[in-house]
Amino acid sequence: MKLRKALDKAREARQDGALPAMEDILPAGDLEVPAGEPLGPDASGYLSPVYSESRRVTIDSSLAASHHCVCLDASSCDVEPFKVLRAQILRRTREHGWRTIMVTSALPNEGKTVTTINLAATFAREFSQTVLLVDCDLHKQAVHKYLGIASDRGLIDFLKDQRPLSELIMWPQVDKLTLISGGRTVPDATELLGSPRMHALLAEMKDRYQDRYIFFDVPPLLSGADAMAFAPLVDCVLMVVAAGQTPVEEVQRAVALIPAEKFLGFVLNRHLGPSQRYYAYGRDSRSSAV
Amino acid sequence: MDPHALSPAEVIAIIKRRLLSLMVPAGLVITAAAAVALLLPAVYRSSATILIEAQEIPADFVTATVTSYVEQRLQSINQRIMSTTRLLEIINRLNLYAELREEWTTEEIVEQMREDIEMTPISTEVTDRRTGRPSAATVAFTLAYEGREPGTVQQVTNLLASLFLEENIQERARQAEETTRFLEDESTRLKSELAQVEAQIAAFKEAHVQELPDLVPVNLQGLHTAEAGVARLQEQLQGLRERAGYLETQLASLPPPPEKQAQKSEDEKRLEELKIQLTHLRSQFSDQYPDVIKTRAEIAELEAQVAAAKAAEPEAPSPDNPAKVTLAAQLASTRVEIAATQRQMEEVEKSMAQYRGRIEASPRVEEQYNTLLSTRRSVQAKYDDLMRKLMEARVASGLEKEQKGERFTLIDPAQLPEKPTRPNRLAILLIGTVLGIGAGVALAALRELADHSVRTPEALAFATALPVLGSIPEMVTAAQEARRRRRMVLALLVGLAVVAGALAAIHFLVMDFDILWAKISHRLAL
Repeated sequence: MKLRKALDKAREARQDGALPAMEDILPAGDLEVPAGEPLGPDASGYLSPVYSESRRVTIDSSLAASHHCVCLDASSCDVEPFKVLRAQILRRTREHGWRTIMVTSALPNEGKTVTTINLAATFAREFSQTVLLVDCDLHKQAVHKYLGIASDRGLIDFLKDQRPLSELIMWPQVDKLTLISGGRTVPDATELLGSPRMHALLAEMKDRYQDRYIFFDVPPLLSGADAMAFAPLVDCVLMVVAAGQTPVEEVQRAVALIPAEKFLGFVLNRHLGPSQRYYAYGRDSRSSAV
Repeated sequence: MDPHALSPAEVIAIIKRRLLSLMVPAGLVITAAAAVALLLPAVYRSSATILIEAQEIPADFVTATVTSYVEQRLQSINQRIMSTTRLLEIINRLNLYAELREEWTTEEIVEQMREDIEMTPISTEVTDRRTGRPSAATVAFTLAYEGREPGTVQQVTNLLASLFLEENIQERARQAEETTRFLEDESTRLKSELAQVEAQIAAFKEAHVQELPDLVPVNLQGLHTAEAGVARLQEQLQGLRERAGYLETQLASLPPPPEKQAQKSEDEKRLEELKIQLTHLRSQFSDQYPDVIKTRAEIAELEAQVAAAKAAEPEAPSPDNPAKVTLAAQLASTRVEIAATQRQMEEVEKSMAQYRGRIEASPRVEEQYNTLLSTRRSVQAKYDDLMRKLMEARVASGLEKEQKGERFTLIDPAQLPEKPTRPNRLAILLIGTVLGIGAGVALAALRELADHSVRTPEALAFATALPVLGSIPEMVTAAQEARRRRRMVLALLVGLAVVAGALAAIHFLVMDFDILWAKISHRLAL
C-alpha cells in the first residue's frame, strides 16, 4: 500500500536525520484511514480518503459560484472545458511523472486563481489521484476568499512561524481535495518561496504521495520575481492567458522567463466564440495530434 | 496577430468586439453632421440676367466712340459698384447685415457683401468675321446675391442690376462726351496753329513780294525788255556820237583866226616835234635814258604852257562866223542828247541788275516759301481730319444720348427665391453619415491593429510555438447576467428620461413641437 510505504519512508528519513524537521512539517497521519470506519471499495472500486486531521471547512457555494469557481458543483455545464484541460494535463504529466504544477500568468487578473481552483476541483474528481491546492500568492492570497472560507492560517505560517502543516491544510469537503490558503500577506514573499524550507516542503509533498497532484497558485511572472523563484521547485508550469487581454509580446516575454523543459502549456482563459466547447475540444485534439 | 487574410467570421468577430469603437465616433460624427445640417442658417439666392445688346445703327454708319471690350467694361463697372462707398450705401439703405453690425467692422461687412455678390458673364462661341477664328463673346451676364432673407435678397439683386444699367449708360455717355470734348479742344488748338502759319506765310510774302517764284516769268520778261532798251539806247548813242564827231569835224574845218593859229602852232608844233622825237627815242632807249627823261620833261613843260595858254585865253566864239555858231549849237545840243541817253542807259542797266538779282534770289525764296506752305498744308490736313472726327464724335455722342449704341437690358429681373440654395442639408447629412461610419471603422481598425492581445488558441500557439492545452470560455454567472440586464434596463430608462426631458424642455421652453416639426421638415426640404 502506497500510504504505508510513504509513512515508512518518512520514518526512515527521520531516523536517518536527513530531514529532521519533517516530522513537524508533515505529521504522519494527515491522511489516514479513520478507525472504525469501514473503508471498503465502493462501486467504482475506489477508496475515497477521509481527512481526519485536516481542518474541515465549508465552502460558501454561492460566493464561489459568483467567482466563477464552477467546478465545485459537478452538475455545472461549464465543467467540460476543464475536463478537456485535465485530460491534456494528465496525458502530458504522466509521460514525465510530473505532479507539482505551478499555475501562473504573464500579467495580473488573467484568471489564474479561478482556473487553479476549477482545475484542482476537476482533478479531484478524477478517480486515481488526490489534489492539494496551495495558494503561493503571498502578496494577495485569494483562494480562500473566492471559496468563501474563513481562514487565518496559510503557507506563511508554515514558512515563517514553523507551524505544522497539519494545522494549515483544509479540507473543503470536496472529495480528495485539500488546500492551503488564507492568512497574512508579506512583502518578502520571493525570499520565502525560494527558501530551503519551501524546498523541503515541496520535496516532501512530492515524494510522500505518488498519486497526489499539487497545484500552486503563483503570482504573475511579469509582476514580480516570485514565480521565477518558485519555478525551479516545481515539475512543470501551466500558464493562463486571458483572451483578448494579454498582448502576445507579454506572453512571449513571460514564457522566456521559465525553463523551456518545464513548460507544460497554455490555458486560454475567457475565450469568446461560437459553440465554443466542442470547437475547443476538437481543436485541442487536433493540436495534440500534430 | 493573425497573418492571414480576414475571413468573414473574423470580420464579424471584430465588429462585435469593437462595436463601441465603431458606434461612438460614428454616432458623434453623424449627430454633429445632423446638428450642422439643421442649424446652418438657410441662404437664399436671387439672380438677375442682363443682356448686352449690340448697337442698333450699323457700325458702318456710326462708329461708337466707346471701343473697349464688353468684358473689360463689365469688369470696370463691377469694380465701381463693388467700391466700399457704393456697397455701404446699399447696406445702409436696405439695412443689410444688421446682425453682424455689432460684432464686425464695416470693412468686414463690406467684404462679406462682396463675397455674397456674384457677377457671372455669359459667353457664347462666335466666329470672328474678320479673322475667321472662333472666340468667346460675352452676350449677357447674371448678377446674383445671397442672403438670409428672400425678400431682401431680391431687393438687393434688383438694386444691383439697376446700378449696373445706370452705370453703363453713364459710363458710355461720359466716354462719348469726353471724346468730343477732347476733340474740340484739339481742334481749337490746331486752328490757332493754322492761323499762326497763315500769318507767317503772309509776312513772308510781303517780305519777298518781288522774288516769289510766281513772279519769275515777270522778272524774266522785265529783264528782256531792259536788255532790248539797252541795245536801243546804245544804237541811239552811237548815232549821236557819230553826229557829234561830224559836227566837230565841220567845226574844225572852218578856218580859225590867224593870230591865234600862229601863236598856237609855234608851241604846238614844238610839242608835236618833241612827241615824235620821244616816240623815236623810246623805240631805241629805255625810259631811264637821259634824252628820254629830258624830252619828257620838255613835253610836260610845253603841255603845261599850252594848257595855260588855253586857260588864259578863253575861247570866245567867233562872233564873226555864223556857220561856226550854228555848228557849235548843234554840237552842244547833240552833246546834251548824248548825256541824256547815257543817263537813260544807266537807269535801264540798274533795273536790269534788279531783275537779275530777283531772279537769282527766287530759288531760295521758293524753298522757304514751300516749307511754309507744306507746314500749312499738314496743319490744315490735321485740322480737317480732326474736324471730321469731331463731327463723328458728335454723332456718336448723340447715339449714346439716344441710347442707340450698345446697351444693357434687364431681361430677367430678380425673382423672390422660394427655396434656400444653401446649405444642402441632405448632402451634409449624407456626407456626415459616410464620414461617421468612416471614422468608426477607422477607430475600430486602429484599435484592432494596436491590440496585440491573444484571442484564439491558434493565435497563441502560432505566436509562441508552444502547446495550448485548452481554452476556457468566458463564464457569466447568473448574478452577473442579472446585473448586466439591470444595468441595461436602467440605461434605457435614463436615456428615455433624458429624451423625454429634452423634448419637454424644447416644447415648453423653445417652441411647440408642431412648429418645430414643420421647421425641421421645411429645412430638410424633403
